[in-house]
Amino acid sequence: MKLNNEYKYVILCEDRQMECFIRYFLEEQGIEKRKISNVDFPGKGCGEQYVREHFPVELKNLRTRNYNLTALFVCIDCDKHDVEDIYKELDEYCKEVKIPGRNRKEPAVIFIPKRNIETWIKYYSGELDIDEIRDYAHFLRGREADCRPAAQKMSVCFMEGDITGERLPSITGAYGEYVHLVEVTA
Amino acid sequence: MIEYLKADNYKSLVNFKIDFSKINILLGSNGSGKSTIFFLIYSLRAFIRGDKKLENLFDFSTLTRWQTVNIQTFELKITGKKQSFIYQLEIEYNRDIKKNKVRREAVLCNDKFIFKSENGKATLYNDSFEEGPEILTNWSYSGVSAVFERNDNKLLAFFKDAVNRIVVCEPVPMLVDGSAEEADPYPEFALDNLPAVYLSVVQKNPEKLSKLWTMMKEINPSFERTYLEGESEKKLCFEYENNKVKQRYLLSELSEGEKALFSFYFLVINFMGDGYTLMLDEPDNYISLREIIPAMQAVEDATGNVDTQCVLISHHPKVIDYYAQSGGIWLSRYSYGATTVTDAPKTGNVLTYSELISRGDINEAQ
Repeated sequence: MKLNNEYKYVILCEDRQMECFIRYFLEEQGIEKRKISNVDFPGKGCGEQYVREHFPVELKNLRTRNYNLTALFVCIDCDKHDVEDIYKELDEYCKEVKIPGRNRKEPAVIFIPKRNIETWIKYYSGELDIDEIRDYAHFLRGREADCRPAAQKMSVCFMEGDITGERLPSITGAYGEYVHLVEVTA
Repeated sequence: MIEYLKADNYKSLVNFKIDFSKINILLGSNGSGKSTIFFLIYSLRAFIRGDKKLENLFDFSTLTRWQTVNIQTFELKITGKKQSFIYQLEIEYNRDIKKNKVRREAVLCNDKFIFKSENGKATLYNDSFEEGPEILTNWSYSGVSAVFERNDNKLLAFFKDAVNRIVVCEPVPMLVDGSAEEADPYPEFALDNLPAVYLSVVQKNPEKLSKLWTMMKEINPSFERTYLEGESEKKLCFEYENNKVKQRYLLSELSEGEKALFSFYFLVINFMGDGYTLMLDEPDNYISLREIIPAMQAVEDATGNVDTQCVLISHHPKVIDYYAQSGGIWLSRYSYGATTVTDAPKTGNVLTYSELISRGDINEAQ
């Protein structure tokens, strides 16, 4: 199971750490570098808000293009919230600008790492004592690209459907999103 | 890798300190001191290596205009081969006879001297930090460059190697020369010796060329390879394939944008990793918008899990938004006074840094 490498993937995320992680994840799926682009990052301290506000814009753009072999890859930290709350919030932002929220037939995927992307990086780096409560934010600050092995490992696990032993519910949720995207873009 | 630079009485740098991390972008309006920092590091490197005389790198025009003191001081902290080095240089200017000289020069390793010179007399140290013989030094040249490598001064050799691995470049495609007679291991400031550096890569690290070609092919699928042609004067040639017909172009025949792209990837592949610090002043000039983010990603990728560093200067909005949030160093200069490093602005809204800068909502020079 792999993502369709004929598609272009647009990453909407909070910062360079997320962009690196998602890009390396996609590259491991066989997506060419030039088929991956990212929405510009915001200034310091407003990443989550930036993603929420840009989500409807990018979703609308995706629809305007009639999904022309383009997929949207969103990543937003869950922080202390519930994953479901983040989905609802993103839907609310769509309603505010009077566009329908994401539907399950369109090539848009939302990864919501809990507590943050660094949780997943540590988890796939092989650290055992990892949970979704503690805050590992910015432990790779200045060394963002060091997340490549972890992103590759997650990508391989997803391709092989090997998530049965995952202890982090947010990864299981992301796997569901991934499977959905594979099916929609097939 | 450079940890910090301190400078005093050098152009707009007065009691100035700047810290670097693995990837940085220097941000600031025109004239805020970004390129001054780059050129100072280039000059210190050239001086330590013995490439040029003191007066050719630090002339009277480099003294801060509004200062009356006659001493310039510099300190550079770098790491290499798991050692930490501090290089200190004091230059004394005599305004009456329009001459300058090295007043003091020192290298410390893990806070202990491994070289020290004052007023033309240098003390050598061994690797156990014990004082050795004194030698006389030329006041116009670095004493460090005059010390030969011996079995008992490996630390000073490590320091020189770390200095060699600092590459400062402001690639100017129009100046990139098309041929070379001899190999040169390091790029000049304007990269006008590109074919000579290419020749050095061919001789020492030919395996790096295939990686370069792969990247060039991703940009232009017609690209095939590069090679040097000629005996004494070697010309850098580019081979493309069009409808199964091979076409040869000289470097000088490429567009400025093609030269800029090739230069960029050539530098990233050959001068990142292995402890190199690559400092690039506006490498995005001439590069098409479509290629900007892949180029920045290439820099990012080159830093992953290896000992290397990249410092950029750019006014390109895409480059600013890619790096400013996590690696931005904000420089400002009030009323044409001294350059200062300021904290990254917390914007409090969801516009990008480049958008805020272009609207004037973030003052680059506050």
